[in-house]
Amino acid sequence: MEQVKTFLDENEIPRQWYNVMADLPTPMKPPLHPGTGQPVNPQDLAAIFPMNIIEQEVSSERWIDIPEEVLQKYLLWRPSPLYRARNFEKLLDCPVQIYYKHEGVSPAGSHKPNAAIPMAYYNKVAGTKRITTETGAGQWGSALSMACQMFGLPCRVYMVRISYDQKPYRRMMMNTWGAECLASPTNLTQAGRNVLAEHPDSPGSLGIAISEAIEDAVTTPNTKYALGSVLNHVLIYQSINGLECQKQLKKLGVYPDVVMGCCGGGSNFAGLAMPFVCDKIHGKEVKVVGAEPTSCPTMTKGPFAYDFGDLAKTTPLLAMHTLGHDYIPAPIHAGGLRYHGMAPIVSHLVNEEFIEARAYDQLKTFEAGIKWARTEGFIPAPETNHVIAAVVDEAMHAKEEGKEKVILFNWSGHGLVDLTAYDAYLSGKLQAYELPDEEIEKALLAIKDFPKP
Amino acid sequence: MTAFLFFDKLNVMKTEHGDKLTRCPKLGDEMTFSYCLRESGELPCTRIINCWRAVFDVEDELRRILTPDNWNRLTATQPKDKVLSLIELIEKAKAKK
Repeated sequence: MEQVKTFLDENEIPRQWYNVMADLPTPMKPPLHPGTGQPVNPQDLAAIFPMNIIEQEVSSERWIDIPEEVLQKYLLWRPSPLYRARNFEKLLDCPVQIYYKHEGVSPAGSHKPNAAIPMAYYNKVAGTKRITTETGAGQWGSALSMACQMFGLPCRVYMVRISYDQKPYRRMMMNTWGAECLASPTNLTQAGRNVLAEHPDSPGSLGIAISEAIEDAVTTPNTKYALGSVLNHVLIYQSINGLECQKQLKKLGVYPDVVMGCCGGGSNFAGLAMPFVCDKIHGKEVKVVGAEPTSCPTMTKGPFAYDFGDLAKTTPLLAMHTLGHDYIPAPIHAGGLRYHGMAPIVSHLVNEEFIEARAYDQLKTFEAGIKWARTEGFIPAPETNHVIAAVVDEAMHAKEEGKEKVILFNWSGHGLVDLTAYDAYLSGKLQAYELPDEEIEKALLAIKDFPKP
Repeated sequence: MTAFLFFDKLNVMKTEHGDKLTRCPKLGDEMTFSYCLRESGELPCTRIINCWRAVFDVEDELRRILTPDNWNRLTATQPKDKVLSLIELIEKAKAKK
């Protein structure tokens, strides 16, 4: 028998979170208050977050103690197991060892409770009596609902109406954990009423749901708001995952060549990656890759060639799947939409070249997820499929280069309440790529004179 | 079905792509092109071009169905820092108190 899982004992769980802010080689520019033009200060956020969380949001301390009460809740599923994906390795037949951190074992089925539990705890000790949040399809909303229940805090979740109707199971999970889940827009907030007055059948949007959750928190006594991604304190709480991983790999006597995660808002990626980014900042050789969604067909239609990694042509030439650096829609030129919604720390580290970002289109990711489910058994969340596609890509490169590699990635959650997404893929309802060949040929002219890998 | 009623009432210029489906990275759910067109009220979602470009000529379609003013507003939209977005929402909410 070959070993598949590596565990830590409960008493080996990390006792501190890691904060990458302490190790950034170049400081991040603080956001400026839109009203005053001055750097945002902690008090500006005090209407929605308790001060103990704000202190962590702006902290530059490298290590932050995890409260005993939080550790006790973490022990319900943490330390999570580190798996070796031996069946997937066999399928790929590449010179790689693939390890994945299984975050789907949490009660909510994803990495989200890593942050939800400390948020509920810190609010509780700060005297908060009630928490609001927004959610799309419900992964964050369900995690926070569970965490609030654990600390006796009422929780109201504004769920985007179209997902509320389409994805009932996470709404049911929220209700089961005692939270109030409302279809946004509602008539309970001015923001919601304004939308409903104009469009009574509005399907809602994440922007409307955030507006409602914040208005509720600001206008209701003793109520605060919680955000599940993007912000620094969220990334700090998620770091328990990467810290556990480092201990587990040490037990195996292995260090990864490549660390990968899927990147939406950045919390699941950063949770695994930041402790390894710390190593990289201090001289360790490790490649850190974030896989993000796109519909741009570079991976499926673009050759593996040298190209610039950015529109401004400021990066060195990088070997990548590319349709040429000019193949970017005009509005993206104007607005830089690629990193919309990404954690500023992650974007900063991409700009500083400590992290590499890769984009994968949906069909490619589902193809990878199906292969995973048919070899390793576990059905991944659709977001997790992005990093699995990146792992496949990395393994194929290793084969092309004839190099052995150890790949570590974050298996951020299971897809058991996302099966409609698989159904859409399997029944051909997700759209296929239709870019004409002549447009591809035209785009590739931009790199015709570059060296070939 | 709520969404379809919504779009009918908006009298959105007909698009042959309206029922096409893609995965929305903001919501974590499958959404139709019709939804993306009105995600931000009068304006499409700021990700609409990134999400749909590979499927059909979305820029051409948007120029056809949006007013010139809304097309310009969409393409001029800059992504906001999350903290700044939160502060703007806090200030708006405080004004409603």
